[in-house]
Amino acid sequence: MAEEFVVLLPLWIIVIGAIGVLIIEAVWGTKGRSVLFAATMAILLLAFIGEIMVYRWTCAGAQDIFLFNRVLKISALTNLFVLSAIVAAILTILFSDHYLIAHAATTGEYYFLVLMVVAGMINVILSHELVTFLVGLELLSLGSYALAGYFRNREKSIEAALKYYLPGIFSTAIMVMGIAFIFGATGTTFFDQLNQGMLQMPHRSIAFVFGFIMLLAGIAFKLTLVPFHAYAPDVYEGASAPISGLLSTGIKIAVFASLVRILGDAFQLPSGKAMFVFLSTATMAVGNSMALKQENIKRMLAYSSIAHAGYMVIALVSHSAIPARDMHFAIGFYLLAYTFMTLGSFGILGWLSGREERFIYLKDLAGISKRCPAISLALAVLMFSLAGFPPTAGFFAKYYVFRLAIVSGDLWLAIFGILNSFISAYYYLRVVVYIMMKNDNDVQLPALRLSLKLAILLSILGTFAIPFISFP
Amino acid sequence: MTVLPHHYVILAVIVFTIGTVGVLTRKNLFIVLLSVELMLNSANLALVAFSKMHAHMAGHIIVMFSIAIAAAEVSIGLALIIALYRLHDDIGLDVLTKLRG
Repeated sequence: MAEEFVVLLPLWIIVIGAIGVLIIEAVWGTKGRSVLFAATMAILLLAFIGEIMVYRWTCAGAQDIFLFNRVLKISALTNLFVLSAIVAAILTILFSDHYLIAHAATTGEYYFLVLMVVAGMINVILSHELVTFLVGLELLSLGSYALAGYFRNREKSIEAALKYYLPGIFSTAIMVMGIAFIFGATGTTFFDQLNQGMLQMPHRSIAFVFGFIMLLAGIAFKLTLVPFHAYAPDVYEGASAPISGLLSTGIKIAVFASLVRILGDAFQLPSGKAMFVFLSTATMAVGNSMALKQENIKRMLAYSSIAHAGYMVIALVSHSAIPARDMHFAIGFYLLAYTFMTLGSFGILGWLSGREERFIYLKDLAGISKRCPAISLALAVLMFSLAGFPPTAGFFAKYYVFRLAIVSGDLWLAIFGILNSFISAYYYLRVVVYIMMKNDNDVQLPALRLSLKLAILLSILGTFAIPFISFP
Repeated sequence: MTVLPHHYVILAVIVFTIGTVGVLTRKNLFIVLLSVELMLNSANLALVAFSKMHAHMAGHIIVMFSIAIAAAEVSIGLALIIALYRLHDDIGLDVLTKLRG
């Protein structure tokens, strides 16, 4: 039993800390704004350090550890993803500090919800059983519905929350039915026993396939894969910018991690490959072609987030042909790189938008470079990274994923992905062009708070540094 | 005629289909929420029936989780509906027109 407490240290810290944050809010009220911010940051940093220590204790994840009657599994893979999820949360909180002050919002529940979403992410990443996965996914989703609609006096915010909530619960219902069918076909919900259960009852394979497709539909919804992507642009536009960042990165980290494990441990479908080829090509093509037309930068980033999910699915296409280690590495690296670039861009947009949501159209960016060269340089670097120019993390992420496709013999898929990256360069570089243009609008830029400087510095550092970090 | 577990599975599929059609066609938010509840409860019914088939308790436990999840979802949904009503005095899906691309 002691093992459960030690190895799940980050999860305990975050959950207990989240309750502590609510208590601080109740005691100090709005006067405790900076205390709340400091407490939340401390909780997340402690969780980060805790996760690194867990990584040491488990001998770098050399051996899989099962917890609570095998419903949770800790391995080298989960360590990487949990660290990425905590990094995403740290960046979100750093960017939120300025945003919440600018919009005079209450902070206690906000930080509580972010922490609970992170707890949900860790739960999803560690889950080794379908129901645990479902509960974690719900913890994550319910928190993110509330965060999307956090500014409840803003029409856009409520609309975004409802447009997220309604398809969200619909997909959850479909997923629960899928889990029911999988349970019916195999008699178990543990990932590593599903295949065996399937072989024992071949006459129920139709129920199994239906269940798998329904489960995958729910997962594809969370990952904004085409044709389940339609909600993403509306939600990311209407939600506050730091939350859009969290929704587009943190949720993808968690759900991709569990999808990798579900595919690796549980399912070896012979026809699975065609399905993933369709998902990845359609997602890349739709995301990139729709992003070309967008004048609103938040919507453009939303479509870019869809396109990036498509690139990541390329790594899954060949999941039975290549060593699992390579696939884990490619996806984990891509997600970490993507977290820094996307959260950084959303965070800077949140800072620029000010009180009345200004600066969210491309033309509003004109002349930023003169008034705030450092920030505009940072935004330009993030755009180059999103487009995949060397030597940024975005380039290496795409390189690892496309290399997997080539190694497993799907050369055309890699070529399709590279062509898509060329298309995407157009709309990312358009942002850079607008930044460099001369301005005729003289809008006051908000002051730079320390937390914001730190956040931008962290995202730029991440963009350049993670190619040098060696992963397990 | 005796009622066997797989009859319950067929019933669950029928109720699930009714719920899906309701979500896709209705405009009133409350009816949409109720339709999603139908879908979740049909899944619960299927789980219990499968549990009986396998003579395995896991299905019953999953249903407990599923009911708790459904309750939490609805509470968030009602909060959002109240917030929407305060802004628009209407809870039809037609008022959601601010965000377009």
